[in-house]
Amino acid sequence: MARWYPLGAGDESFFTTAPHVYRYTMHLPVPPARVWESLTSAHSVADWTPLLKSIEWTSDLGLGATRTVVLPLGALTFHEYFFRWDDGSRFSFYAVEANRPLLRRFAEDYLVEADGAGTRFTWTFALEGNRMSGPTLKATNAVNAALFRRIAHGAKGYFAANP
Amino acid sequence: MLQTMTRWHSLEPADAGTFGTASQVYRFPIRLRVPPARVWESLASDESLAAWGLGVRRLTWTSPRPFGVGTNREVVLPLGFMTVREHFFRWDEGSGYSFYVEAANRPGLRQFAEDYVVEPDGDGALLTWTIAIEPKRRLAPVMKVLGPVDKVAFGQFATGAKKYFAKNP
Repeated sequence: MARWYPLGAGDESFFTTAPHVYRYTMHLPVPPARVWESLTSAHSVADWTPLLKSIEWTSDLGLGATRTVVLPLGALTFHEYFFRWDDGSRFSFYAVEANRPLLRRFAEDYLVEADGAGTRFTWTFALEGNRMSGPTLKATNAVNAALFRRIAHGAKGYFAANP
Repeated sequence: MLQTMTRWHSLEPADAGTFGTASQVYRFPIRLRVPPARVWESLASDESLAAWGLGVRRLTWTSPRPFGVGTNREVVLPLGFMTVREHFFRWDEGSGYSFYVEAANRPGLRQFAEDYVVEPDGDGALLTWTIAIEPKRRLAPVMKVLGPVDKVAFGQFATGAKKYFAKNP
């Protein structure tokens, strides 16, 4: 009974040109390989925060990988497509479709870099609303920023507890 | 579009005590440069909060006027995130009201209530807005993490109210 709404493709430039770009950089006290291992594990970043209900890889990992992500309350489900995959250091996806007609485009970029004995981790969210949601996304910008920040910073708690 | 597949989830009733006991209570005193009567007029108007530019998608009073205790309202929250059916259990004409949510189209909430108090404050009004949330156990970790986000969200409401009455005195 699920109905799917297509989203537009994104590319690297979308992370600078999207109407809403939220970027969070943090230091994690674990080596980059550990962060990458978690990013590419079965539950990926859903292990980091209760704000992502579930993540399921639906293909082999690597460029072109696909993933299904479900938000709490079933508020939103995305099918994602990885258009960049630099093993060990970076991957990016754009959402191909969602179960609600909320966004025109949605993409995320995950960057893992060495930082002393730990990792400098940068998580970027980029989104573009549609005719219906555009004005609201603007009005709720501060809230969305707080929400994405909360999601991203789940990494700190996770790696503190699971080094 | 969302409405066609709406499934309603019941919440438990709340009362005045809920604003002291719920696991999450947010209280915002908002000073407004209009008389209390103007604030009340807006709160009880057809559009009510939907006029305040907060992204409320739709607000429908589902009871006939005159409104009072027992009045019902249906509200579609910003981005259609959730639709709630509200039941007013306190109505003090001119000075405030409280409702609890009877049903929502998403699961996860055990209780949800809001309280609005309008008082004179110099030559303006003091609107005190209180939100009480009791999530279901399953959702408690999510709500806990969302605390700071909720604070920002509800804080935006205060800003929206100030802007609205500055523009529409």
